[in-house]
Order: sequence, then structure tokens, then C-alpha cells
Amino acid sequence: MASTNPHALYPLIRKLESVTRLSDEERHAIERLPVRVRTLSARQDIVRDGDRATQCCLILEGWAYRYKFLSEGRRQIFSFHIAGDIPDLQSMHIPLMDHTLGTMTQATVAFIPHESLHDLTSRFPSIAAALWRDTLIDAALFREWLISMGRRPAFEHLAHLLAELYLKQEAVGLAGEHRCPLPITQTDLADATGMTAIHINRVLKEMRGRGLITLHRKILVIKAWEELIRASEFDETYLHMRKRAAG
Amino acid sequence: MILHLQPVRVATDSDDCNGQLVFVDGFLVAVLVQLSGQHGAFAGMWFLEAGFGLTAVMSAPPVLGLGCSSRLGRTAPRHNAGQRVGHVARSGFARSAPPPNLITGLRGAFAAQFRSPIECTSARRRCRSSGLLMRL
Repeated sequence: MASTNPHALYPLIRKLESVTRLSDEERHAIERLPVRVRTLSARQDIVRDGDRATQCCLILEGWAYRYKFLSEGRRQIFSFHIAGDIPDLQSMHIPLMDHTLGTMTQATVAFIPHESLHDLTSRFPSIAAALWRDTLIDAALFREWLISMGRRPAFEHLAHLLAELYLKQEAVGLAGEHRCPLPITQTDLADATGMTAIHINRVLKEMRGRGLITLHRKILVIKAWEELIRASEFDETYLHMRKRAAG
Repeated sequence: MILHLQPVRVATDSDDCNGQLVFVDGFLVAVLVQLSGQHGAFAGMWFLEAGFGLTAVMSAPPVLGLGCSSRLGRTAPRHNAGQRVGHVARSGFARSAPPPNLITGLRGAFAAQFRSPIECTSARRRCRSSGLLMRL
């Protein structure tokens, strides 16, 4: 069932405004996009490796992730996504999926037809630039994950990831005071970091033991923010958040 | 093919320090660690802390399965009926293993690895005192 509820796309506007500026006209154009809103259960694939996508998926509520399976059930998670993200935005221009996008939690999503996005971006080059900026920041996150995967020890790696996940949520108003939802299992964290769930368990215990974090009922509280970012050599520049760093 | 275990303490920066070195024909192929109480339901199970050669994996070594049909380092996807792909569950955990049970599990694991029949020795008691030996 098609919906044109202008409020449905607010998370996208909020996300884009966290990394760039939008005029009223641009905001209204985004709000007028035709979308299909769906509520999906947790652990459900949205678009799969090998599919040819005809629409993009905007996360309105809940968490999603991108991943790829290797043989024998080995899995690599590439990214975690929250409200406002369009994790498969690249499918606008490369529709053949080379990985899978799925929900981690129950999620409400809006499907936006590619043709509508092409029309929007051709009429509003500044929105095209905003989306491009978003994909470039996405690439910056990938670079940082690559560094973590290749060069950061387990403790630094996980501390870096927790800081990133907190700041991403804070930037769009979903977190504050160093407290945020974290509905990610230890197995997910393992598959995102190249570690094992056992190593993740050990590192989280050490973080708790040092008084850096608490993680209870899927709520992360970073009790010693400065120490966490110092331990992981975290530099938020790569997130290119407008509120924190101009440009 | 001779499989030999040697008890060792492993510095994992955690409570998991009770380990076993696993040798095949004199070559170190794995370091196993018995999981402590901090791992909840997995406490007492054996974990492949590091693997070399045939037991090596690309990144951090995953869980060692010691069940009868398990293989070293194997994980398996779990699919929910009627849904698209669900989550991945680490498989291959097995309950606590005093060394003889550990050997039994390893025997199964290595049989899968080497695709060779297993011949058990009857030297368990002798081997237990000086590390454990088993003929594969």
C-alpha cells in the first residue's frame, strides 16, 4: 500500500541534516517521495546477495545490518544501520547486490523506488550531493573498519566500534549522555570484528571490569567516555558529523 | 598419526587459563582453552584458541567442536523455516571435557579433517600421566 505520509521520511531528513544542510524546498521534496512502509521482523533479509534491486530501503525504526556469507556458515558483517540510514543506497546505480541487507531487530522501513530517487536527484542536485556525501561517509566508515580489522588489537577494536555506534546514534538524536541502545549480540559483534564470540565476551568483561562501560538489557552506557576513546585512539573526524565538525 | 596433548596455562587476559597444546606427529596444531564460568552456558567447553596448519583459519579461530560429528573450527548457519536467512549460530560447542573426553572429541574432529579411519589405542592410562597419545 503506497503511502505519502510526509512524516514517515523524517528520519532520512534528520540523518541528512546531521551531515549536510537542506533547504525547505529540499526537505519538502524528500517528504513527497512515494514510499511503501513496512514493519519487518528481526533477522529478516531485506535484499539479498545476487538480487537485482529496484528500490532502496530507508530504515525508519530499528536496526539493520549488511553482511555476506562465506562457506560453512562463516559470515562477515560490514555495517550496522539505524533510523535514517539507507544501507542499500548504492543500488540506485549498481542494482546487482553483492551482499545482503537484513534486519537485526524488528524494524520499520520505507521502500523508495529507484526511479523516484533518480527523479529527485535530477531535480535537486544538492540532494544528490547530500546522498553522495552520505555514501562517501559510508566509505570512510569502511576505511576505519578496515584499520580496526587489520591493525587494532581486540580491546581497541571493540572500544572503537562502541564509540562509533554511540556517536552515530547521538548524531541523529537517538542517544545522549553516553547511553544508547545496542541490540547487537556477541555473535554479531564477533562477525563484525573478525573475532569470536568468546573473545568478545572476554573483552566486554575487561571493559566492565575497568569501569568503562555497562551493557545490560541491550543498553550500552559508556561510563568513561574519555578513557574509551583514548584506549581506542578514536578520532571522530571520519564520521564527518556536521554538529561536531563543520564541513 | 599420533595425537598428543600437553597441559598448559594460557594467558588470555581472562579467567580462561586452563589449556591444552595439541600435537599431531610432533607438530603443534592447536591450542585449546577450557572456558571458565564467565561464559555462562558455554562454561567448561573447550575453545580453539589458536590453530596452525590444518586447524588454522583465516582470522581469529572460532569455536572448536568436540561433538562426535563436529569439525575443528566449523560454524553453521541457522535458517528459520518460512523466513529468509536468520542468524548464524556458532556450532561445535561440546560439554566439558576432562582430557579423555577431549581426546574423544579431537579424534572425531581430526577424523573429519584428515578423512581417515581412526584406530583407538588402549594406552589411555599410560598417556594420561605424560600427556595423552592417540593413534589416528
